[in-house]
Amino acid sequence: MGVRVSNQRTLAWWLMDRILHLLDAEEREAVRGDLAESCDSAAQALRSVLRLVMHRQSVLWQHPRPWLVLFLFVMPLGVLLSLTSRSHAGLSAIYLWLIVNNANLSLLRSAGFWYTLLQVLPTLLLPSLSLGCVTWMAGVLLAGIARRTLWISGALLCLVLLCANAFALPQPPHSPTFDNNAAVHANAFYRSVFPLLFQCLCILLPAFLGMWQITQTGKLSPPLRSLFWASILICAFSLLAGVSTFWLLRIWALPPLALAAFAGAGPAGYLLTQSHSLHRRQRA
Amino acid sequence: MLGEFEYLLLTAAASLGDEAYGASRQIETVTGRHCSIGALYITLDRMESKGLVETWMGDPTPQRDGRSKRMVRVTPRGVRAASSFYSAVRGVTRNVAWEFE
Repeated sequence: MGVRVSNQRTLAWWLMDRILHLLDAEEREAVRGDLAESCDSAAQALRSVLRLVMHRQSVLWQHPRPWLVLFLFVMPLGVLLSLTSRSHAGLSAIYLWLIVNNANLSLLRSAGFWYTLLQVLPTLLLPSLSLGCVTWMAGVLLAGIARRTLWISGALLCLVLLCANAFALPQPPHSPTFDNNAAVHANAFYRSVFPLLFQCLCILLPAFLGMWQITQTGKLSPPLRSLFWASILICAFSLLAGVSTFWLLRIWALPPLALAAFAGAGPAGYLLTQSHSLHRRQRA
Repeated sequence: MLGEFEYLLLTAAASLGDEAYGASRQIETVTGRHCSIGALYITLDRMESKGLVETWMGDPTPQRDGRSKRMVRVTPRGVRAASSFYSAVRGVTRNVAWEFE
């Protein structure tokens, strides 16, 4: 009993510490100090901090900026990424089903199997990698343009992604139809669970990693920020062209390798800058 | 016209003087009522926007493990508002004795 109460208290303090991150650094420290001096129980302190944070956020959301970010950045990008991820997850599910259902020792010994796998893997991995890079950059940029409302905007991005997936946005007409793969999609795992897992791995995880990283390391330098914007706009346009019904736009859809190159430019630039600044710090 | 909690905060801040921060403890001691940090900060924001108090982040001190304090100072407008509230309360309760038997 005592251990359970102690665990609950620890959980409440941990949760409160997380929630306090929604406040400005200066105010966060002052609140922490006040809480340390007060005789509040963990539950009282948690309620108190929640009330303060909700008040601060409601004040911030009275300005147009967070709404502009939500309607011009979070929602369009969320729907686009969700559509792309669902389309790609459908394709990946077929190959995964093929491999899982046919894998046996004799197949694994066959050179033809490995040859086909090597042919297929780039087709599956490159778009997944590109999606991951694009969403990571989106997370970083979101942290830059909506710093004070970041976690609410991030949560709304998640909501948009999940809702777009759950309420089944109409399939783009030109995307592959899987009539010949009914056996795959008859399986609940490949039909419902796999797309969600794919979305979590290729979209949610990189987006939150991007947000978290930029809150830890600080702002992007202006050239890097320009590179990110250019890269994400090209990729978004290409992804939009990929799911668009307009054939005229489709000619702009980049092949997977080119998309991966554009999507990878941002993270590569970031890694180079980070390693350069680390090297300079070590030398200093 | 001030609210009751605003008046309590102004009075606590005025009595603490230059060292006024986290007036919740002062309010709790005097009134015997719990004062949450959320309520305190939100009310301070409102009072600051009305020009009744000024708040600023004090320098970190070793007392609170180096954590800064939100310091509070009552402005002349705050003094006038508190004085007016006090006069009104004193005037309206002149012939009433609030005592439990």
